[in-house]
Amino acid sequence: MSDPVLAFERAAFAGEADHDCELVDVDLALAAGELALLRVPSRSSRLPLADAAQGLVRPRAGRVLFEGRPWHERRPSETIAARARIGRVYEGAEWVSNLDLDENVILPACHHTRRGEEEIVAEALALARSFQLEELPAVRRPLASRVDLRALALVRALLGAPRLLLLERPLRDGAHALLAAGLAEGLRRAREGGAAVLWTTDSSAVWQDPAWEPTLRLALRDDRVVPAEQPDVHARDRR
Amino acid sequence: MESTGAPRQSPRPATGPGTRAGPGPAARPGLAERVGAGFWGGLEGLAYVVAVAYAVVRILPLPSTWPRTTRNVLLRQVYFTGVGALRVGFLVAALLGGAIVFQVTLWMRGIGQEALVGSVLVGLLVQALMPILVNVVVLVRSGSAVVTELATMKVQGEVHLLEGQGIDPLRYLVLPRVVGLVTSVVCLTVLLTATAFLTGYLVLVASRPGEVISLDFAERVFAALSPRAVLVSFALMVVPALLTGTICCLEGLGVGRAPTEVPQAATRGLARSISALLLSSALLSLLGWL
Repeated sequence: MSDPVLAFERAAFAGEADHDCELVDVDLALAAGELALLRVPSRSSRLPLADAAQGLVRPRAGRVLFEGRPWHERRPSETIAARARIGRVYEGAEWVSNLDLDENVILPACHHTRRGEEEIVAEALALARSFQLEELPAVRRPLASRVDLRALALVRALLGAPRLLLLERPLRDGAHALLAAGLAEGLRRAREGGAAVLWTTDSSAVWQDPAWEPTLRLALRDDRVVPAEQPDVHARDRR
Repeated sequence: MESTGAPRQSPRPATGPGTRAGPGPAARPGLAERVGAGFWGGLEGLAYVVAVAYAVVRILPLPSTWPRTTRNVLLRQVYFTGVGALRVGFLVAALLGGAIVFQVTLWMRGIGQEALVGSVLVGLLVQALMPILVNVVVLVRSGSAVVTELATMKVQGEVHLLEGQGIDPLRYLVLPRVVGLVTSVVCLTVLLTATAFLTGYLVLVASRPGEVISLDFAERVFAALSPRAVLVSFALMVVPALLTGTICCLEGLGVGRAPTEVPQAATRGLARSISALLLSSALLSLLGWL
């Protein structure tokens, strides 16, 4: 049996400047093709999970493994190469301010691969169209709408063939209605290609939508990540 | 530079000569202790700058260091630093160089030492003034811009974003900026030194209408350009630019998360860079004359 793509083994994280939320005893394993949906309170602090999944935060106890190897045992060059295989929609800073948005979207792919830039742009453009964007805007971040920024963040995360997708409230800013269909299609393809997905959401619409087909539902309870029950989507109809 | 995610630990011990074990106010450190702490702190800072500059030089020739994204940053840096400084550089070189070449030539002629004009001008312009002047121009124009840009990126969490994308800040942010500054200084110094000599020659010709300039100006200048002079000049271009570029990048990336730290970092970066520039230039000049 192959190693899970991402695994937390009794990992504990102290609240720090960037993540003012403490977590203890996080046990989680995501195999290729699996999707874990983690429900967080709507006004929750930033969680350290995504940063830890990328090896940016070291747990104060336990281990975090990507593709079977703990982050802290990798050499810097291996860490860089491994992060190149992760797509992420960020909760905090999302864009490099001295680059246009189209440059931002293709930056990781251009940096880590030798694929032709035209080929990368073509793939990004196809993804952008699935999120109802006609083009990759060659403008700086303040000139784009919030929904367009959500769409572009998703395009960047899905670009290439990521082994792991970390989606931190990807449909926030009222983007659910416009981008959900494109995201569902993008996730289906990524999961079929072997990607594991860790998705945090505070949205009831996302949580109750069975179309995402999560293999694992999780919730936060007292600084712990615990299994959550399947939402009863027919409860309202019965009432 | 690659983050392992581990929180940085302060190298200072919790207790030490400057602290007291018991309750009550800590003893105020004496003058010698403060001077000593400042000295060691300065040495630590210098060692860190030299270590990062060495790391930049070490990874410089590796092909894997230069993906297209890093090359793009380098090109932008050379454009903004080198091409952007051309106008002010030409002006300074023409005015200062012209005046110096003209004055030195007249003085040497006045004391009957025309044969030494080339050596004096090469010593003055090529081995001292122009490399330092270009370094100062580049530092004032681009050094503070580099600090501000990187500090703003750090404050806004963009450096964290790059690390998350597997983009090493040393290779993507520091290396192309330092190499861009060094490249710009070298190219500008060669170009502006030639401008200074040319302007000086033209001023000489214009100031003596009808008189043939029999100094064999160019020949004497080129004769004085020994390999040693070229080497010293090259070192005066490269070493200070390498140090100041590294200092500016480190000051920019050394800020925390408060926006108020950005102007402080810019001021500190410029002051430290100017100190490093003057000290390294003086040291290299001294070595060159030994």
